[in-house]
Amino acid sequence: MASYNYSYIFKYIIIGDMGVGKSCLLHQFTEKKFLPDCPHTIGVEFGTRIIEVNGQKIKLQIWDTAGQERFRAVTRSYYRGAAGALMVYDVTRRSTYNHLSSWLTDARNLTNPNTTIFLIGNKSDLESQRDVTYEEAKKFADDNGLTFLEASAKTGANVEESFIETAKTIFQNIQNGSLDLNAAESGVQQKTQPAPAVDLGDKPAANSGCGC
Amino acid sequence: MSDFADDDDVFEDAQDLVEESPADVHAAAPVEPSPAAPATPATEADDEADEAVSEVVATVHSTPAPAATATAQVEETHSATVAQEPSQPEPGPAAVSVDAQPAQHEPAPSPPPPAAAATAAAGTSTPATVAESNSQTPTESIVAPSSEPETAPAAPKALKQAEPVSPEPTPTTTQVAPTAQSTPSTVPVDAPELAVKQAAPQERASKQAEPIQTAQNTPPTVPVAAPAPAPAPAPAAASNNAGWGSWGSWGSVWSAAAATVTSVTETATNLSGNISKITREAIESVEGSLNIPTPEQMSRMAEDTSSNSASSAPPAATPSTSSPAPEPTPAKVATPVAEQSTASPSAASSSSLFGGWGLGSVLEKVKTVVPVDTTGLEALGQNVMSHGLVALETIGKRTIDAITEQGGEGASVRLRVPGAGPRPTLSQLLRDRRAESDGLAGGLASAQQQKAAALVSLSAMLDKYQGLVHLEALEMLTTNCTVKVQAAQTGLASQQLLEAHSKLDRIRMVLDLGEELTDSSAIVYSADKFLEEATALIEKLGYDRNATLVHRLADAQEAIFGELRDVLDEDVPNAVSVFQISSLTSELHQQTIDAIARITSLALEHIRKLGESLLLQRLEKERQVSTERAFANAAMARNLVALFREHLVSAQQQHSSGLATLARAASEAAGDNKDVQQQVATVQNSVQTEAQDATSYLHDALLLLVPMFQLHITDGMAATSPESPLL
Repeated sequence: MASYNYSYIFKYIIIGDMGVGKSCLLHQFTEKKFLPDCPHTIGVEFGTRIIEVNGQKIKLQIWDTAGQERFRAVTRSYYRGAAGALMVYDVTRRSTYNHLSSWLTDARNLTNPNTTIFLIGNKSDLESQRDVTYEEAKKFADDNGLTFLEASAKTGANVEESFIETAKTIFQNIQNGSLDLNAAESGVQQKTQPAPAVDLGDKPAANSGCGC
Repeated sequence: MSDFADDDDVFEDAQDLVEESPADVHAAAPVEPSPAAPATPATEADDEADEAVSEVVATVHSTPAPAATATAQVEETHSATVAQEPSQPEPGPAAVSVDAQPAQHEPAPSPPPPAAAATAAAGTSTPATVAESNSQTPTESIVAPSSEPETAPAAPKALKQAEPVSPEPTPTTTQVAPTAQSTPSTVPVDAPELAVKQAAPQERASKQAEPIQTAQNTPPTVPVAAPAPAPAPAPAAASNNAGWGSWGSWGSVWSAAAATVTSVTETATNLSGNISKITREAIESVEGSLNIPTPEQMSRMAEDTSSNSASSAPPAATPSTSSPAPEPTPAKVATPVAEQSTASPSAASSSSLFGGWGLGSVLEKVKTVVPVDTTGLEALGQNVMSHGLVALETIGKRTIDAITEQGGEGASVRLRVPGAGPRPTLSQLLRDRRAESDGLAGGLASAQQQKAAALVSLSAMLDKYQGLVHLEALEMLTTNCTVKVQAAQTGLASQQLLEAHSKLDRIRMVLDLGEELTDSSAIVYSADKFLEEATALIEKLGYDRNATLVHRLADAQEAIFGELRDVLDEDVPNAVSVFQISSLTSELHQQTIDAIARITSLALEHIRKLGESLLLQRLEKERQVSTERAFANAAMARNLVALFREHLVSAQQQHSSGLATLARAASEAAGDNKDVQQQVATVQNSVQTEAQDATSYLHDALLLLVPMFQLHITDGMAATSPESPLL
C-alpha cells in the first residue's frame, strides 16, 4: 500500500441522525467489512482511503461525525473545509429522513458553496421495513440539487459508488474550475506530484515508430 | 477664508508697527519666519527632554544663522525694506500677505523655483502629499522626528501645536518666538504665526541632514547664478532675498520657496489641475536628484564661485552644521549680507542651487505657471487648509501602515484581532512538511525506497496514525472557542473583566508543560505505571466514557514495546557484521519514528477528545463546571500530556540505547568502514530530533485547549454576573 502516493486529498464529512449507519458506511468503505455493533461515535472519528478517479489517486480523509443531538454543537465545528458531505438517513426510519432539511441547512451554511453534498439512504437491504420510498427521497434530492443513492453498509451495495461518485463530482469541479483549489476552505489539497523517476533505458517510447 | 483675510489685516498692522517705530524693529524681527520657526520644535522639546532640545537646536542651527542674520539685517536696514520684511516670510507656507506677493512675483523667474524646490525637498523625505499641501502642520510634525531621532518626544507636541497654528497665532508660537530669539516678546501677533509657517520649509530642510549641509555650503554659487534672469525686483524684495541668501542658500530657497508656494498655490485657483501636477513634478525630479550632491561636492562648487556672499556664507554654514552654538557667528555674517542687498544674487542663488540639483527644468515649468493673481488669495487659503488636512490624513495612514507593516507591536496587535491575517496552524505546517518529505521520496527511484523514506518521516507517520487530522480537528474546535471566549468577555462588567483576564491567563500557565524533562535519563520506563496513571487521569477528566481510548492505548503500548523488546533483546546483541548492523539500524530507526508517531498521535487524539468533552460539559447545564474545577481539570490535562511526553521520551530512549549498542558494535566490526558508523550516528541524531519535535507538538496541542478551559471560566463568571446570563 503506497499510502504516500496520491495527488489530491479530499476532506469528506459524514452527517446524519444518530443510528443511520454513518460509521458503518465508513467502515464498510475503508475496511470492506460490516461492523454490526458499531459503538456511538463520540465527537468525530476518522477514516482514510485512497481511490482512483480519472487516473488520479485521491486520498479521502473522511470525518465521521457523531449523530447524537448533544454533539451537534461540537460537530458543527468540523464542517469547515469539507469538499464533500455525505448526508445519510435510514430508509427504515422516517424521522431520520425528516431531519434531512436540518442537516442540509447545516451543510450549506457551514461548508463552502462548492461543497458536493451527496444523499445516502442507508439500510436499503431492509426492504421489508422501508419507511421512506426511493421516489420521494429522489425528489428531495433533485429539489435540492443533491446526488442520491440508496446504499447498504451491511451488504456493501452502493457504498463504494457513493464515496467515489462524490469524489468524481469534486474532481470535475476542480477540472472545470468551479472549485478553486487555492481557496482556503476548498477541502481539497493538491499534492505537488514529484516527477516520476523515468528510466529511459527501460522501454522505447510507445508511439515513436509510425511514420505513415 | 475669513481667517486669511483677517490675517492680512493683522499683517498690515504689523507692518505699520514696524514702519512706525524703528525701535520695534527688533521685536518685529521674530517675524522672520525662519528664525522663530526652527525654534518651535526646540522649545517644545525643551519641556520634554533637555537633551532632545540640544539635539534639535543643533539641527535647527542651519536656521539660527538666518535668524540672526535677519535680525541684524532688520536693524541695519530698517527703512522701507524693513517694512517689507515681515511680508516676506509670510509667503512661505500660506503666502498670506498681499504686499509680499507682488514683491515676490516680479522676480518670479528665480524665486518660484526654490519654492518648488522647497516643496520638492520636503517631498523627498516625506510623502508627496505632504509636500503638496505645504501646510505647516504636517511639515512641523514631520520635522521634529526627522531632525534627530532623540527629538521624538517633541514630535507629537509639534503635531498637536501645528494644528491650532493655522491662521490665528497661538500662544505656543508666541512663546516660542521669544525663546528662540531671546528677544523681548513684543512680537506682533502675527509674527509667531508667520514664523511657524515659515518654519515649515525650514524644518523640512532640517529633516534631511545632508541636504541642509549642502545647502549651506552652496551659497557661494550665488554669484555664478547672478546673471540669471532677475528682472529688477523691488528693492524690498531684493533686500529680503539677500538676507535670506546670507544664511545659506537655503534662506533664499525658503523665501523663494515661500514665494513659489504662494504663486503656485495661487495658480491653483486658475489652474487647479496644474498645481498638483507641478508640485508632483517638482517632487519627482527632486526625488530623483536630491540624493546627488554630497557636502563635499557642494563645497567644491562653492569654492569655484566667489563673491561677497561666498565669503560670508561659508562661515555661516560651518558653525551651523557643526557647532551647537553658532548664533554669534551668523550674526556677524549677517551684516555684510544685509548690505549686499541686490535681488539678483539671492534669486540667482536659489535658481542656481536647484539647477545644480537638476531642478532647472522643474523651475522653468513652475515659472511658466506663475501668473500673478492676488485675487486668488482666498481660494489659496482654502487650498492650504484642505491640503493640510489631506496631508494630515496621509500621515496618519502612513503611520498605521508603517506600524502594521514593520511587525513588532503592531503585528502582535494585529494578531490579536480575531480573524486578522492567516496564521499557519500546526497541522498545516506538519502537512507541508509531509508534502516535502513526499517530494524527497518521490525523487527516489524505486517504490521500495520511497516507502522506506516515508517510514522514517515523522510527519508522514503522524498522518498515517491520524495524528494530523486529530490535530486539525482540535484546531477547529479551538478556533470556534476562541471566538466564544471573546464574546463571553463582552458580557462581563468591567470589574469582572479584570478578574476574568487574570484567570484566563492563569489557565494558560496551568496548561504549560514547561521543560520538566531536563534530566530525561531519570525516567524509568514502566508500561504498567504509565497505563495506570493515564487511565486514572482519563477517568477523572471523563472524556472517554466508553474506555475505547484506554484500550487503544494499551494496544499501542504492546505494539510499540513488544516489538522493540524483541529487537533489543535478541537482534541487537547478535549483530556483529557490518551488514547486520546497518540493516538493524534502519529497522530501529523506522521503529523509533513509528513509536514516536504512534504515541504522539494517540496523545493528540486524547487532547482532541478532551477538548470536545470540555465543550460538551459546558453545554450540559447539569454538568456545569466551576472555576476551581476548571483549573483542576486543566492541571490534570497537563499531567496527562506530561505522561504521554514521558512515555514518548522513554520510547525514544530505549531505541537509542539499542542504537548505542549498535554504534559500539559498528566501531568494533567496521574497522576502517566509516559508512556504517556514520549511518548509526545519523540515525541517532535523527531520532533525537524527531522526538523533540514530537514533544513540542504535544506541548502546542495542549495549549490549544486553553480556550476550552477559558470558556468554563467565563461561563462561571457570567453565571454570577447580573448583567448577562450564560453566553
